Amino acid sequence: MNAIKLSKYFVRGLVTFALGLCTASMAADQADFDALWNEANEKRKAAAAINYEWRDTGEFLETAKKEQAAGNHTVALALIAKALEQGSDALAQAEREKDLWQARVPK
Amino acid sequence: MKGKIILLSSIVLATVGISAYAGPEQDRVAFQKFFHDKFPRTPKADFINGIYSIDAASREQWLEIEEFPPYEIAIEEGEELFNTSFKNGKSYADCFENDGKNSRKNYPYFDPKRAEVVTLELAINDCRVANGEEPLKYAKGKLAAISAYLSFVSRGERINVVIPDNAGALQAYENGKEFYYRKRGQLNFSCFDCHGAASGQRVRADRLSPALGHVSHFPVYRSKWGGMGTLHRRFKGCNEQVRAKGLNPQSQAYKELEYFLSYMSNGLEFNGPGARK
Ligand code: HEC
Repeated sequence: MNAIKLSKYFVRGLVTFALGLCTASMAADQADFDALWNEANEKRKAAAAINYEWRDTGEFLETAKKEQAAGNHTVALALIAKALEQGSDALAQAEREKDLWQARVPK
Repeated sequence: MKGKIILLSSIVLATVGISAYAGPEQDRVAFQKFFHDKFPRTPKADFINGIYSIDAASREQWLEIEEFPPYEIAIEEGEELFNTSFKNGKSYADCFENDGKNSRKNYPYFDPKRAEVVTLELAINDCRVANGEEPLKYAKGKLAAISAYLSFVSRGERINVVIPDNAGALQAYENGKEFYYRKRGQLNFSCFDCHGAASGQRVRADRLSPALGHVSHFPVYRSKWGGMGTLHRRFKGCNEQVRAKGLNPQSQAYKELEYFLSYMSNGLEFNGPGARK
């Protein structure tokens, strides 16, 4: 085996390895995304079930899916973070209002 | 002995509860008084005119619009639809007494058998479905036209929602009430924040109308919509203004909201359809 052949194998191995890493990280990105997306969507649904969903939450989640599909992982995650925050805030609002509304009724 | 004491104390508690909150009628009296006190110069019967009952400047323009009302076409369309027979030979007149005249005042009501609030729009679609026709969409279009016609031939009748002695009916009323006073949406407003406490104030280009009389004149022609819309279309729009997700017209929550809000206006006249900005 000469030196040229050796280095050819080496390069080929390196490329395969790098590709593997890349695929693995993409798969991890996708798994991350799916888990977070589902979490945010569950929050949204919980708020919707008590008529407390906010207007834009669903749209953030839809757009997140599109961005993820287009490879814009960071943008997609930022959108999910917004949806997650809105879902939590909406649920907290519903909880807070459980008693507060009574004070607004004209007596 | 112990049992008797428990019984006695629960009777006492129940009595205290009753005297603290006597129910819808007590709510209605306080609700109407709130607006009568807030707008002492508005004649009590005039609250059916929404923002124009408290805003002299825009009232002038509106009166001019009312001379050639933009909802007239919808009334005509609604009349024609109302008088067109279904495929089975029957028509709306078989569902609404007296050719629909003065039928507006019968809605909304609570139907104990169905255990739900029945609105005029729901009754129109029920009539269609019972006669083998497809239901219509609830926010605008043909359904709003039929509703406009029935409102027109019921003008001058008084809003008179009755809450029967039925746990379901009272619950529906309470749900509607709670919906009205709860803050929601990203902007964190309740209906009453805008149409009660802040009514008369300006938000952007609009002044906020008082909630008293809100249901009297629907459906309305809105220039912003470029057409007619039902009361529930308006509910949805107001929910979305505060960045809450609007609900579907004729969803349980909106029917109950209409039930509550109509009860609050008991005694006022129906004057629909209306024209609004
Ligand atoms: C952020 C303020 C705001 C909130 C909150 C709000 N609305 Fe409105 N609403 C408006 C504005 C602005 C208009 C148009 C001007 C007017 O008539 O008050 C309007 C109009 C209406 C009208 C039509 C009035 C008419 O004379 O035709 C109805 C009915 C109504 N709102 C019901 C509701 C209900 C029910 C809720 C709660 C689900 C609600 N609104 C919450 C701002 C608000």
